Amino acid sequence: MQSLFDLLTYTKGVEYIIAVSFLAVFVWFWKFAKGGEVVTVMAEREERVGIARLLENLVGGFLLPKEFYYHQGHTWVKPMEGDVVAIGLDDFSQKLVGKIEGVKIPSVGAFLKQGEKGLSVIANSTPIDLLAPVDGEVTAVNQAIQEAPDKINRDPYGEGWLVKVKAPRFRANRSGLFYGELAKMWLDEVRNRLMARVSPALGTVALDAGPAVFGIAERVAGEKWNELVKEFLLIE
Amino acid sequence: MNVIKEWVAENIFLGLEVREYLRRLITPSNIVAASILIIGIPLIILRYMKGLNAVIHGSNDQPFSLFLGWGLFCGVPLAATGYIMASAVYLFGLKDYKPLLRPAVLTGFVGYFFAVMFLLVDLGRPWRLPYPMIRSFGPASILFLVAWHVALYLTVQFLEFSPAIFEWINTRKLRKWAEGITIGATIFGVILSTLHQSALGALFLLAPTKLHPLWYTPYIPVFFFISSMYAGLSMIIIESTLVYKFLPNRVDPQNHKIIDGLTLGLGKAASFVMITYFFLKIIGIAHDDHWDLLLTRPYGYQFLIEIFGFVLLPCFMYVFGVRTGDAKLVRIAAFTSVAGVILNRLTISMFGLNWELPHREFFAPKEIIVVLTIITIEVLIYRWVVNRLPVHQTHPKFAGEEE
Repeated sequence: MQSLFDLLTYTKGVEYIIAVSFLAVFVWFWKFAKGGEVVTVMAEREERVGIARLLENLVGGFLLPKEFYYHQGHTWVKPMEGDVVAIGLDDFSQKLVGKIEGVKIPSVGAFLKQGEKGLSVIANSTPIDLLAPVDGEVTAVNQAIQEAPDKINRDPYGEGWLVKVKAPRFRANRSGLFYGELAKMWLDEVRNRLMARVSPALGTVALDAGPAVFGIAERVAGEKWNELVKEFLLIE
Repeated sequence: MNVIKEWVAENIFLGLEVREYLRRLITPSNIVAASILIIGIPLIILRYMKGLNAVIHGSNDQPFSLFLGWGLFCGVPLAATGYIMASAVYLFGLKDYKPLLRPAVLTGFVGYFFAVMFLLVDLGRPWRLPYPMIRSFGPASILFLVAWHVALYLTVQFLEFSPAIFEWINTRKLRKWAEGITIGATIFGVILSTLHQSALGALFLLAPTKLHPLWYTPYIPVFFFISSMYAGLSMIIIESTLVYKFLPNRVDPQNHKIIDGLTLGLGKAASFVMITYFFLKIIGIAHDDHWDLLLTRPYGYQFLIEIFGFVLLPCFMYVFGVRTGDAKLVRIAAFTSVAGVILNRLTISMFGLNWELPHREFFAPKEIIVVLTIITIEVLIYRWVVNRLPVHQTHPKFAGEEE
């Protein structure tokens, strides 16, 4: 043997030395990697905060974000810049109708009148009219939902917006909209009416926990789902 | 009949008129893919008409071409995503990773399927593919168990993915049945993977004098199995990165918000496997007393680059990425790790095999084109499935239903 290196590498024991070294290194490595636990914990905390906010916004299984105004025809309004507002379908209506296959929305320049039909979505190959929640002129149309209408199902309050409207009479229109606690009470009442249709004997038992299921009208009313939709969306 | 027509229009042509759908296929990436196919498919036909040597530089000195070197030896560990994710979610209870389960199973299924396609191109008599199962078993060969395992594992992966297919064709009863057998399929899949991932390494135990001593070791089956674990974890990161970037509309919006956290978690797991693998490689050198070979040219330096540059370096990139919450660093580490696995497998099956013989030729141009063609078909099929089936997103009609 010529050197310490030769001595160390000549003996079979070097494998055991490496193996024992690995155990020591692994303990250190584990702690070093777990140092990222702070980041993971923060990410988990952020996720829990997000979930808590989601649950805050859940009313009887339906999302009802606080910052939106709601029309009793189940469309929402969100003020943007100036007197421009965005309009969309609320969570109750998108769950009621089920998978949205298409949209028919007015083009830029068209006029909407609060409480009158002005937009429609297509579900189960059937056009479903929606009541406009405000008066105003259409200034922008969401092109993305033309190509992917299921965005309305997946993100009704975000990517699923329908049109943007210049609403100079929004202050006056607000008296015909629900907001905050009033919106919660209204949706509670709508939900109870729906529950009574699910099973009059059950009352308010089902849909109590967590988000509501999807395609409610078809599940509740079967072939007469369209009539149920018209009843709840206030379409004649 | 109308129902079928509507279903086809909605689910095959994505709700578009046929003409409009075909018009939308004309994109730069599709043009590149079509060009590759136009050149490559005739070469595959040439291979079957004129034999393997019409497209490769094969010989007894160079037994494995890229068809097996890439298609089988690299393709199988990179398709380890299925058993890794299924174990994590169903066996270890890490339900947070559920959004990545179906994509991982699909990646694994497509990966194994195309490993078989590469095998068919190499074997040249595709009608003999079922022979190890029905006619000429050959149990003395390690490939006997590889053949059985790949066949069984493809079946298992298909069953694991079948809930997505049944949701797509809207059959609740079949979907429920498929979900009922998931845990059993997962356990079976993990058992199969343990053996066939290592068996591909065990193949080389038959050739101790042919494979370069730095890569030849009695531990080679263990190395193949352990490297398949971090290869699978890294491939899940790569797959999700590419899909979330290039097909974001096919992903549930809430998944966009949590993917970085999941990526960090996968990176942490991969780093633990890689540090273990690194030390095992060192033990492999010590076991056979090959320290003197480490500084030889070119294989010694290649080995050092492989274990330090493509194992230890991405291992620490993973760890630093996790510690700082840097998902981008973790993704770079994933690409580096996969490159390392590819380098390792190509070395063992091609560069390091018969390393002492002079005048070996690798990578005939036609061989490269055929490999690129099959990879292109693989990517196109994967994209086709992700664009239509509920892989990265929940099917609206089944949303909220417990699995």
